[in-house]
Amino acid sequence: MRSWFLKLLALMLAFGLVAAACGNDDDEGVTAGPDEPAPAQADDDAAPAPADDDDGADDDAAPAPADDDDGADDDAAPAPADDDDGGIAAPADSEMMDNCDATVPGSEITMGIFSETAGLDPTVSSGSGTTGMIELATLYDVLVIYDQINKEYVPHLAESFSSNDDLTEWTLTLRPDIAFPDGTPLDTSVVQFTMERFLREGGRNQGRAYVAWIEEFEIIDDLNMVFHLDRPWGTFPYALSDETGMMVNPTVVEAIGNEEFNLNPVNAGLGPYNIERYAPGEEIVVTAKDDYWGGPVCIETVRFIRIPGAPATYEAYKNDEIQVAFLREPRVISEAREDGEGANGHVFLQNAGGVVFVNNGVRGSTPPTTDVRLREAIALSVDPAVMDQRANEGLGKPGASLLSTDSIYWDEELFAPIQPNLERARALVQEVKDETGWDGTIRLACHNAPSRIDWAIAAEALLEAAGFEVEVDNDGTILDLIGIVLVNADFDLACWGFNVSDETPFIPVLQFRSDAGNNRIGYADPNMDAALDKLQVATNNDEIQAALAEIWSVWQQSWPSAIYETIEEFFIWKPHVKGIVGSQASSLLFHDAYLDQG
Amino acid sequence: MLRVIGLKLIRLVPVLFLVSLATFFLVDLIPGDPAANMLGTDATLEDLEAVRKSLGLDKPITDRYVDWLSGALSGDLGLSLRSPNEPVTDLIQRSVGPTLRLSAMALGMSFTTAIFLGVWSAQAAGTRVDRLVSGTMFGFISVPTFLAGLLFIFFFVFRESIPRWIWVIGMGLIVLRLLYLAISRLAEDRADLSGWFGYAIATLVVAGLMMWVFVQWPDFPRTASHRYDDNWREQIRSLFLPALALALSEIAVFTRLLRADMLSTLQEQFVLSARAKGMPTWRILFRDALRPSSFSLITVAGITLGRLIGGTVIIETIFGLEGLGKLIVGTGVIPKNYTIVQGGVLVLAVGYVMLNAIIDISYQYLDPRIRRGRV
Repeated sequence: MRSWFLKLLALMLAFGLVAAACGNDDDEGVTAGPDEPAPAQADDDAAPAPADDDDGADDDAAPAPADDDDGADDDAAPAPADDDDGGIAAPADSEMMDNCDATVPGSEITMGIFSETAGLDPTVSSGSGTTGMIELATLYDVLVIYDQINKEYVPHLAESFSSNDDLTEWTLTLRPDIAFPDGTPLDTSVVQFTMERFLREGGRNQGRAYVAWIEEFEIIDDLNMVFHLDRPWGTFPYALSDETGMMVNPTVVEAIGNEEFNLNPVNAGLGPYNIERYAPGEEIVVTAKDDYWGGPVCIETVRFIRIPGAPATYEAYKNDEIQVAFLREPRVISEAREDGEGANGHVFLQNAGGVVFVNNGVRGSTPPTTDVRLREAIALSVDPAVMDQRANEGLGKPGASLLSTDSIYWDEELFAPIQPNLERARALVQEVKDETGWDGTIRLACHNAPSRIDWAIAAEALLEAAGFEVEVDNDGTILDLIGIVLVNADFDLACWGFNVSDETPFIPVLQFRSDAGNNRIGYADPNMDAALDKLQVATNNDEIQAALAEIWSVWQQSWPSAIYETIEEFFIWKPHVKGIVGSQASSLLFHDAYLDQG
Repeated sequence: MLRVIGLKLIRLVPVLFLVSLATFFLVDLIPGDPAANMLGTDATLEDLEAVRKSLGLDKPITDRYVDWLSGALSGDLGLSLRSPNEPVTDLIQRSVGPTLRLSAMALGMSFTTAIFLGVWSAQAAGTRVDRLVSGTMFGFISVPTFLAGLLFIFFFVFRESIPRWIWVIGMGLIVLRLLYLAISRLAEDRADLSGWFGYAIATLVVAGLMMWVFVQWPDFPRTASHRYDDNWREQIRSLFLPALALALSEIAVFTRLLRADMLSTLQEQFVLSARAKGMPTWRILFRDALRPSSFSLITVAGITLGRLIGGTVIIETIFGLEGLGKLIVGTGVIPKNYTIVQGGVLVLAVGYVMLNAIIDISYQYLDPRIRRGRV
């Protein structure tokens, strides 16, 4: 009887397992909606999923904060001040989206962010959508938006902006009748107060570097003002679209003080949302304003959370726990694409997002890499395809050029990638060894994220093949790496990123100026300085492209570092989430977002 | 009794003092400049000096210890060294809740499962059931917590039909077994319906439970989110998988411990006497034998709870739960945010010491011999 019973049980168990295996698993994936065109979608069918760096942990100190766009519609160009009447005006109110009559009660979306902001004070947040700009934009709004579809800066809180001929004076006109929730009006004194805070408070935001270029705020009246710059700057509207363009309420800041303002800036912004809850390390919850200057805010609550790691973030997205996700890991981006994601979303590319950072002699240090021949040898031995295969399973976006092929400035001849040449690299290394007696030892610093450990193994192998003796230090965290590179400047080579964006390539490449305060590698080349000067005054696509081409040309003579990949930042959202738009620096704007209940 | 408790609490004072010393000085020995950490990469030397002064880092270490201790005694553990520079007390208060809930749930799961399995296993010592339980426990104890967490996510979140059917099959087997016993009992003696009736009721209850759980099977979330504070049902749903992952190895430890103690207790004279008097088995097991067999279990459970509160960092990371472990390691240790490490470790240590004191005191209630010995 007992053995009969056991046989029955075994049979049932087998049947059950078969039934389970055939069970319905269709709840695991979400089909992308075919009918909603992406605002500015990259060419998904082309190259495999692009590359990236770490998994988002501790990234408020991420090395290079700027970023760029997706590369679609490549003939368009950023057009900051190129129109006939000398200025760019805001779209008429009737052109603004009108997707609901009032906030929909109970409507809510959750976004899985990449890394946490250091606070809700724009001067404290370290910049870009990777570290807080998306959250902050919901609270403060910005003077200017970078329109990713038309590739141009368009006024938002501002009504118009224009420059003089030599690009040293920028005139800004504000929209009338905009006020903070407490009634404080948006006027030119608010703009001045907001921007001067970046200098006064000395926060970590990169904005304080370029606010310092404003010599004078000339207030004409409540709505008109002129920025007098100490140098010409063709893409000055970038400063109006960044955290420096996020208007803060002076009354609130002065009433509650900087510390409280950083944690709980209620009624302190002009954005579509007000802060509901900020629990650092946990979540940021914002709720819709009922008197937003731009019209009804459709989604009542937006919640921002960080789920450690891109795989977990994407899993939570698939399980519908988050409706918007920020992915930055090639393997996960590739998986998402295979699942059909991306039709609803936005892609930002970080040109030169992956580089072997080379110490050219920063702060008087004398690493072997002060010798330009070794820097060239490094660039020639780092094979992007091998690096990508090892670090990203071949799913990244390898390329040894200043620009990605998807950049709006891309030109095959002007930005031809460096071709790996191991023979020449070996010859150069040997030449230096023979000439100086140097034994080939070189230090390579990175951090201990799994993908970076793989990266270091690949870099070590490639460099040793060229005759270097590589000493790898990748025991520490990304913060340790930042300490090694930025604080102590005690490195020869390091894993790093420049993140050259299409919206404003000038800001990230500015670090290559010989006198730049953020020149972390001690690189100095008068030809590069001259090329950067040209980029600084470039205002249209052709001028920017020409200046970048010159920079790339100089690069291949003085070899400041070795570029090997472009980083992709992949935002996806559920098909029923509509109206989110991408702006500059990997940021998204939610003011026109709504949920399509149909 | 109050005197005993008072004495035990007084003995805690030097322990806690030593804990505070170790917490402060060990963390202080960790290399790195808190001011540099606070200011980031663009700091000037003047900035660094100013922050060092504001943090009191220019004072002698003994002065700093006294300042820190007096602050800690008044509930002020300083500010986080990284922006947004929240009070450490606030950070700990916010993260200790989720961790306590998670730990308590894991401990509750471990305890209830282990009591059932341990008692059953001891009662059926040497039988196939005992071997099955022991083998399963070996399996449980061999699964690392992080692996259990990832497997649970895979099966319960993304392949939920598999565990759902395994549940049905497992419970179905029990139903069949009960049915078989009921029929056997009926076949043995058709006149005595009492035994048959008991099995029939048990069959119905288990079958009902099986169906109810199958129908009500929840959608487990991938992340143990924070938005369930006001809803206990959502809390349970959200914390179930991480708690189960944590409980797995504890179930094995508790079960084996209880089984061993129960086996010993079941040989005691009073148990044999109870059996001889014809007391029902369930009463002997759960009312007479369980209590004296639970000392080791309670001791280990206390230690486990303390360990869980501070040691859930891996599970908290996997499930995205911002608990105390993740706060201390992720926000404190890795970015060298010393005030969080000092505050967090102090709170953990105090909690751990207090917990063990409570366990110590609970022995007085559990065992009359100890109670009388003290009195």
